[in-house]
Amino acid sequence: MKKPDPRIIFALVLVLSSFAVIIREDLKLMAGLMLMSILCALAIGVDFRKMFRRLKRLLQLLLVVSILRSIFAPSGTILLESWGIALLTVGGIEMGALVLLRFGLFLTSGAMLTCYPVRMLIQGMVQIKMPYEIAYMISVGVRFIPQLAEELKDSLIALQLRGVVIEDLKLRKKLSLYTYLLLPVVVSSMQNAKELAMSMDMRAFRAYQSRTSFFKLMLCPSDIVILCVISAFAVFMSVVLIMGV
Amino acid sequence: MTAIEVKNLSVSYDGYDVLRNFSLSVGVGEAVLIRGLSGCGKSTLLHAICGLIPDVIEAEYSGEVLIFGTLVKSLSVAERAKQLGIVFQNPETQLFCDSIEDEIAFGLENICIPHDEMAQRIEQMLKLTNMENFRFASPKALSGGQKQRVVLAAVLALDPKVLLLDEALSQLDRRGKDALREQLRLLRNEGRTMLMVDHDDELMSIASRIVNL
Ligand SMILES: Nc1ncnc2c1ncn2[C@@H]1O[C@H](COP(=O)(O)OP(=O)(O)OP(=O)(O)O)[C@@H](O)[C@H]1O
Ligand SMILES: [Mg+2]
Repeated sequence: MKKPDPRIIFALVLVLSSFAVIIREDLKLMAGLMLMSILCALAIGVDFRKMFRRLKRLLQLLLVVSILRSIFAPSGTILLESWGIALLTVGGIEMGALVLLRFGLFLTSGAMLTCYPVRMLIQGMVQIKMPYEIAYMISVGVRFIPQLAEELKDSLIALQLRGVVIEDLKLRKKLSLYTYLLLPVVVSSMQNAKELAMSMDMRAFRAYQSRTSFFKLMLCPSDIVILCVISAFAVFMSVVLIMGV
Repeated sequence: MTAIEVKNLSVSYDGYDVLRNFSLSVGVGEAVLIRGLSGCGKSTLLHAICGLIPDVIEAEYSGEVLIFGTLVKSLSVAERAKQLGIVFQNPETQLFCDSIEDEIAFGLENICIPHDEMAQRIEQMLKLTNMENFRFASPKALSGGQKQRVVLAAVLALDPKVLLLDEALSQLDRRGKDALREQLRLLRNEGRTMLMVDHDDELMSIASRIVNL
């Protein structure tokens, strides 16, 4: 199956993440939204095994938020108590789950975007009338993140090859080691970014207000249908939220 | 008519002199090879000719650079791209698109070339640099030498009057070097002005004049 136009995904991500922010209390609604976004993500071909690995770390967040909420704003049945202070309440767990779902929604939305080649995303942004400079800036910026990680990994390996066993270091030593390593990595990335900017400049980037495009996105009938479904969904959710059904 | 006129150029980084009172003039259609040891300021000279020093690269700078009689500083981005094309030394930091096709199209899109002509030029450049089979490949997946060829294709697509090459053969193997040298020879024979920089003598055979830095 052909993937929908990236602009459709922009609309979907916009709808999903706005509702993720708007929904404050309603856990059921949030869960429904999450289910919806997981279905969409599956349809687009998001690699969920990778996603779950990231989500695992988020489960700790659920626990922390639940406990904090239970202690400072207890509500609902108390599940765990010590010296008269509620440590875990149903209300707290609900709050934690809400926060977890909200983060999950942002993650799935982001993951849907990463299913597309960068060029398609840029073109999508340009075709919804975003200035092309900004579209390129975002894409080049995003590209530098993995490069930074890569270089940091390289320098860590270089260090290990010299016989430093990083796992054995105390936390404080480890932290200072990372800061020492990070500095040259950031500097070299800045140098690379500068060289890239020079190359783009000499190839006439930003010569004119607008630019032509060799690659163009075209909405096909199925995209229109999907867009209608997304709009209908957004209207439905708004109604549910306002009426409080 | 001179294509490039460098007059009394001095460049120093933080008080460290790299070029001192350097002058050079390159006539239209000439292919000049600049030779010099590593660190003698070859790349610096090319950066200054493009007007990147002192605007983008900070350095103390005096002297003048004229491109076809106009101060390089006063050229607009579009004009400069039409007159000067440069292949920088490090191919890693000159490619940023998803595919080779995109990479070649990038400059053409910037100067608003219409779609059909773009298609034609992309085709031409892929053929010229022998990268036809890699049209949809990601630049990340290429070898250093292939990257250099892609950068050359992307730069030549804009059809610049003057081609500046900073060690353009450095990462190629023997066969790649021979092939690219022949391409450059053709470009020279077509009358394209070229300024090449190298610490080896590999490009000597296509140079019409050699300058030691
Ligand atoms: N941006 C910069 N800031 C500070 N010093 C620099 C900068 N660029 C170059 N230099 C210094 O200027 C000198 C000349 O550098 P340049 O890159 O021009 O040499 P090169 O002849 O191209 O050498 P190579 O053959 O190794 O490429 C070197 O000593 C270098 O360290
Ligand atoms: Mg150099």
